[in-house]
Amino acid sequence: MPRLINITDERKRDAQVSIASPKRAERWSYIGPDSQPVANERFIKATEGHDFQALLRTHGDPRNVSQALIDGDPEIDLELVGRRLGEVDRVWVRKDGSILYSARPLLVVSNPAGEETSRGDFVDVEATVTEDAALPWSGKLFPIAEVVRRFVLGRKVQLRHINGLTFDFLFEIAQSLHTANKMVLVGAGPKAAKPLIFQSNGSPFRGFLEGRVEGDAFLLVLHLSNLELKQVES
Amino acid sequence: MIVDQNEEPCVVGFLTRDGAALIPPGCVASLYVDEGNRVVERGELVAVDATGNPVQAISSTLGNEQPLTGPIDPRRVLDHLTTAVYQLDATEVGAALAAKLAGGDIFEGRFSYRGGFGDSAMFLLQNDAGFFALIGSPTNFEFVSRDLPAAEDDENDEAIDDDDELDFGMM
Repeated sequence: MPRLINITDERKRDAQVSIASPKRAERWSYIGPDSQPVANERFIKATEGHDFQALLRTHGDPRNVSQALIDGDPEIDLELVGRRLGEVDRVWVRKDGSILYSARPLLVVSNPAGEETSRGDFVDVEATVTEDAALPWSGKLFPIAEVVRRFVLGRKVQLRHINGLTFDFLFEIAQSLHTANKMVLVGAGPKAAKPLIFQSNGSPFRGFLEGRVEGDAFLLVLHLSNLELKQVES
Repeated sequence: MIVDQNEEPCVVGFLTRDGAALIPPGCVASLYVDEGNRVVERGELVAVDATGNPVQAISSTLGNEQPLTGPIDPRRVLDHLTTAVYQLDATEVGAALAAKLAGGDIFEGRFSYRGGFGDSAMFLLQNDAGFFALIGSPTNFEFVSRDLPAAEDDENDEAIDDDDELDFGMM
């Protein structure tokens, strides 16, 4: 099922269209020295309860841990280490090594030096880009060179049609942007002033829509940025 | 941050499906093995392209003079997904290049931080804040015509907001 969003053109017509991320091109793969096929596998290197902190809890002090290491192999679970990892579930683990069954997410704010400045309960942030709520036409056009030199476009999605009508709809948008040689600012909310958030608790982005036309074909790409090209304080 | 009832931070671990092992972070090894389950050291691996031909290793471009082409059409930057950003401290810039960069032109070169089997496009530009190098990989988006089938499933559905953080390099 293609992923859908709802956008509006400059004539205030809106439509559901699909979005697609760039395909990751496999540029190379690995073989062995004898041209044999190889595969990357994950193996268990160590398990909970066998690291230094766990041994310290068991034996009391570092001297006892040292003696235990001389006497045996308490740091390795011989049944599990070296085993293929296989399918696993991500879990949260407490300091004492036990699994957390009831998690509490906190929002912790740190300054650029990494020092915590505040913390409080985490509040879910809802997505602003959905199949139903139409992203409005902002009308704010920017020269392409200005966008490229001001913003880091670290995410991109291509807009594609889902039927003949949406093909014409998107083609006209692309044609308009191509003729103007500009990109239009895309935001959420009634005035396009809110950031684009594609999933709950996702990163907020500002979007710039680019359009190109070649004959009867078009290319519409929504470029996403959450970073401006600015001086970083050293 | 995930905390327990005492507000002590917790870390992510992996629990095997059979419940036999709880793997703390940093306790998983990634190895290359052949069909006989023999480990192949990374130094012995040979990189090949899609046709099976060996791929030549390249050196890091750091500290090595690289040719620039340009000025380029800014759309060339749009054709790439920016994966890293470097704020540049220009110690010496030729007068001709400095003038063009100050005028808003963008130049393109190649970049490889560590060397290996592939490099990336590098776009050199200047704005009011200074000089920057944008490192990127091609998006390979294709033009859409009426004859092409309508939208297909997005194989990279997770890619819009995945866990990969942008590599800010020197920033």
